[in-house]
Amino acid sequence: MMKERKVTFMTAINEAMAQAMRRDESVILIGTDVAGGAEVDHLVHDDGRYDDAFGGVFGLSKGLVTEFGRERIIDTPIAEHGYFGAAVGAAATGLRPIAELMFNDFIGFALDPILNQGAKMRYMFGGKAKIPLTVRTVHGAGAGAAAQHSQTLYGMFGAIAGVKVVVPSNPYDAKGLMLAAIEDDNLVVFSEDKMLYGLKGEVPEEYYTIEIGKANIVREGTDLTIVAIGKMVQVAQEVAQTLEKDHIQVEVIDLRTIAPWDQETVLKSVEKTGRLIIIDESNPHNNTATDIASVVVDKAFDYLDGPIKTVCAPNTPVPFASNLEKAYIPDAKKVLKVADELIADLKKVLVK
Amino acid sequence: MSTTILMPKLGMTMKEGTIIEWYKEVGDPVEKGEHVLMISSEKLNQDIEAPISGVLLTKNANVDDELKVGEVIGIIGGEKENVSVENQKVETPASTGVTTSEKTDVINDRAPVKEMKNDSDRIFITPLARRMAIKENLDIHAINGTGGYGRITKLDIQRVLENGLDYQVEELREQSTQVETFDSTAIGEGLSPIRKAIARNMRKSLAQTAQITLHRKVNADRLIEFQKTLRKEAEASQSTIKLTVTTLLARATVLALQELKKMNSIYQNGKLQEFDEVHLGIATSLDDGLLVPVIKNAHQKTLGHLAKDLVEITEKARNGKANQEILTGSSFTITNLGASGIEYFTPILNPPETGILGVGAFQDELILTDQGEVKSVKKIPLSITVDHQIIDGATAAEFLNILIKYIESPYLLVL
Repeated sequence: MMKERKVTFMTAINEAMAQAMRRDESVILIGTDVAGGAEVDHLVHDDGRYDDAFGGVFGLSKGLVTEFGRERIIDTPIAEHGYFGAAVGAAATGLRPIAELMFNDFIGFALDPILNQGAKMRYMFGGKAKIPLTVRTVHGAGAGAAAQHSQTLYGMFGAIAGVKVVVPSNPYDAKGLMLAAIEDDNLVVFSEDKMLYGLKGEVPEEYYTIEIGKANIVREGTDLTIVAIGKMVQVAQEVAQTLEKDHIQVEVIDLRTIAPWDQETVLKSVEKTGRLIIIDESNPHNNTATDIASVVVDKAFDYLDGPIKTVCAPNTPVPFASNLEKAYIPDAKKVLKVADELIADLKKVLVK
Repeated sequence: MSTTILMPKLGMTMKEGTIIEWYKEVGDPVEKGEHVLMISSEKLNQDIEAPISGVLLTKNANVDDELKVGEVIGIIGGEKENVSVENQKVETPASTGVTTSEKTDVINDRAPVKEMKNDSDRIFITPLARRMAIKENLDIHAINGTGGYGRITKLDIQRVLENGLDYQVEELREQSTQVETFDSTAIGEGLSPIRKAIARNMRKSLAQTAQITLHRKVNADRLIEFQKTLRKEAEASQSTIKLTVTTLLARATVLALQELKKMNSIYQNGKLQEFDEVHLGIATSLDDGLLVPVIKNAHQKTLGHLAKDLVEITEKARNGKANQEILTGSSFTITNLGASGIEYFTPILNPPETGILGVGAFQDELILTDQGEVKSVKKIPLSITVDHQIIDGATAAEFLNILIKYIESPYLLVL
């Protein structure tokens, strides 16, 4: 029997990009520091050896420039508008680029090519242009990176018509969704939580894809549905385990794709459980959680056995102080607190 | 406007009623308060009055039909309304917003919706439960909501359907999901490991028990005399044992605990245990904190053994050599602030124990003896803290009484 192969979230993404690039010559990676200095003067030794390039600010794309060369792993100046424009143009004219936005907090600099060009071309050109562009970016608080490097903004991309957004929660999904994103002929934003980079999990060596737009039921239950995004899936699992002690069965749905999110799976689950909590690390308004709540209350109103609850970050920037940052991120305790209102009836028993 | 006539609940146990006689026919005008029909339940007949003036629009039940409490018996419409039942049915959805397409349902549906609006007590019910109540023809006013903020939920409807309206619920015992009011993991943050452990223990003690402390002084003259005699005789016999007043108090406590076992107990995870054996914790102060080493099976030990053990365990604690074995398993604790000159204090329970004895410093006092003489005596102030969840003040007072008996009659200690 094959031994389970466990790799980190970061390795899974690196492996996905490498496999895609081996299969398809048109796949390239472009971004600030994605190669990370290989073959630059100060790294070259007298005998011709050169130090391995760093491979991005987190070292995620390490090794790619060695295998695929600087033609396909392209370091750019810190000029996101410029290189995102180049990436959209390359996608429209035959390449299948992966463009990296180092932190999603820099969305402002990269937005126009995504919002007005990449997301619109296929529609405006009557389907004659394809934009097979994958935008890799990084979100999430918890690393002590302060307000300008810790935000969770995938919901902003998700609000743009014509953009698909995936948010993986574990290494297996990261690889499968990355390969699906690269294969997709539309603009897909692939948003990685930096706090998950070190998470290890089983990842098959072979090439595989996970369907974009399909949620994953990671735990089945009958009493309460929790929809979670990215690393919040771990929080949902913790809540499910805690509530199990009270014989309350929680169904945990890993949303996987936040745009377009899987209405069928979520609605079906809510029709079964009647109760819904959505955990999203975004700020609390105009985000994916509120969108899910609005759709569910519309389409499954008569199945609801309580209000829909969202557990999100507060409406503040991400604090730098570690205790405040910890308090900012949704955790099991916060979810259990809102769950109390939904499961009050389940905690009462008939007097015999 | 039209109003429904519902099957009323005439007694606590009534679940359904039978139609005995209709006084009115469909289309008949009725005055508010006028009898429309008679029902019976459990040998009790009752005339049902018209809730408004108007015209009887429908009869939803015939004579001898049995209806559940809250089910619709008939509908009375306004005087100017079309008497035609068919028209009424068509008209209803528009005025109530009910969108179901089944006309016959609509009429029945109206009851809860409309009454809710008229009622000053707004009823909170989830969409799912509401839909179920409508389908089952239940009067939601009669249902007790157990959901968040008293909402009626699906479970409540199911319970009514299974048990009728007469049932009661109680909270589940296990409450593992109860959210703590403070972050227990943050207690003692930033302190040394030993202080952190103390912080946790003390916070836990105060958060989980109901502590009450009683104070009383005891005349220790005879005890001191007894101790001096014993000590002299021990020294004369070349014994290395150093008998202290503390040893004697420990022995007295052990005997008192054996006499009143209620005090020798622990309360943990919803379980109260009383012990025959006494494992005596001795609160021992260190430079930076406090430990409670334990004399195991103290009830089996002679005064000499107790004296030896006391020295041994407190030294181990002070020298950092006390292991888990020594530091756990006590059933009662003694804490002594006598050396610091403290008189009375309020010791904090050492959880999960239900009692702790605080010993203060000797106090010189003048008393009037039975012979009418003024005499100087030494007294020991005692403070006993108990968990009032388990032990009442009277029991704690009784314990002090027994303890004082041994202190005032110290020869009992060697029996």
